[in-house]
Amino acid sequence: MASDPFETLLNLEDQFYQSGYAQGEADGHKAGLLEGRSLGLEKGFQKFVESSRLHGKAIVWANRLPILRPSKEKLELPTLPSNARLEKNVTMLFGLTEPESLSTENTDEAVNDFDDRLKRAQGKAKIIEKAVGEETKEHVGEAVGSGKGRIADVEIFTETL
Amino acid sequence: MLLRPEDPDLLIMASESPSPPSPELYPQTIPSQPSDDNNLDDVWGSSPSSPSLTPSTHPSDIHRLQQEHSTAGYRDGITNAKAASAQKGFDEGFGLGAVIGSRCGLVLGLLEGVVNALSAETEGRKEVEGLLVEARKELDVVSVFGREYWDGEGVWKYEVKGDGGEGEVLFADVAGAHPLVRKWAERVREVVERYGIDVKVLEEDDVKRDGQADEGGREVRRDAKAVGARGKEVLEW
Repeated sequence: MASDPFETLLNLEDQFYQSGYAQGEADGHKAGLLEGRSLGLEKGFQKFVESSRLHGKAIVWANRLPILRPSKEKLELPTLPSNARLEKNVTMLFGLTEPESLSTENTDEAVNDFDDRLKRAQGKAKIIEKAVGEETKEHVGEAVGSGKGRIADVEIFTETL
Repeated sequence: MLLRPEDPDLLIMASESPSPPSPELYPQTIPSQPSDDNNLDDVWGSSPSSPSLTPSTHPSDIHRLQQEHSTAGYRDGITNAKAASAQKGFDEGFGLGAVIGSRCGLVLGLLEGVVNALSAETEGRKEVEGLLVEARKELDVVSVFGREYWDGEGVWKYEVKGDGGEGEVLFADVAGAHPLVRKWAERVREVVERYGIDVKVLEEDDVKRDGQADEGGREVRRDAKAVGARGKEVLEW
């Protein structure tokens, strides 16, 4: 193209644009990657901290249900009375929040599945909390739970999820 | 989950750092410096000479032209590239954040479960409750992703040993090596042992997963394998 200076001149605008574009592209690529990463870390964390929290609770409840925990050697927590619905709910909650079965990928399918299961899990957890008398404010250790495992009319709780 | 383009940011970036002139574009359109200047080159070593300092028949036009168009190009370039890479970065971060969050959540849930199980007068409840309060503070998103553990680029600062084949680093390795995760995994293990909790309680499956009682459960199980494989994803950044 050096042979035709006139044409080169006409192309100049385009060349300037292209060189600017290339640089912008490089800067933008890096900036976007970093920003996206930070945001993703946070978002992924927030979602999974909640599902695993419920999973941890399910583990403790399951331990307190004699039928779900055949070997009851040295359990130092009050057991919960046998109750088919409660057992079922705890088992469901456990399954819904099982980390190994929740995809951590950010695909539509995986995220929808996660959201759906988390919602169901939260519903289950509420039902169980009511049933075992642990209706506490979601947060902070001012848990008022009587913890004695008194079951109040479990059967009247209808499952809406 | 799709990222929304963050226009304000993009504009700021574009206007703050317009691209510098690109010298390679000049030699063909601007006469090179007369040769009698070469003796100065010995002193300043300024070869090839900077185009913007070169006297030219129409310097302002060229300059303005360049400024205008390369800035426009820069703006478009940064916007397009950022939109594309932000999503990629988000996807990467999401997976790792999820694995770390999962570890932290389990700690919180186990502690909550124990606290709630114990009546107020039970000996030891206060202590576990104290742990729970502390854990909530330390395993908070701000604390876990604080500057102490991460550089500004979303990369961990703490040491991680690759556990995958050939020392590859997996999400799980990064999560497990986080100082706060390690600290609390240890603390919660003590509590779990003290109260005789079996953390694998329902894992051996079939304990009581029959029939419809189980729609969730079984589906979940089937899933587990497929995801297990993907979960081993090797970290790329």
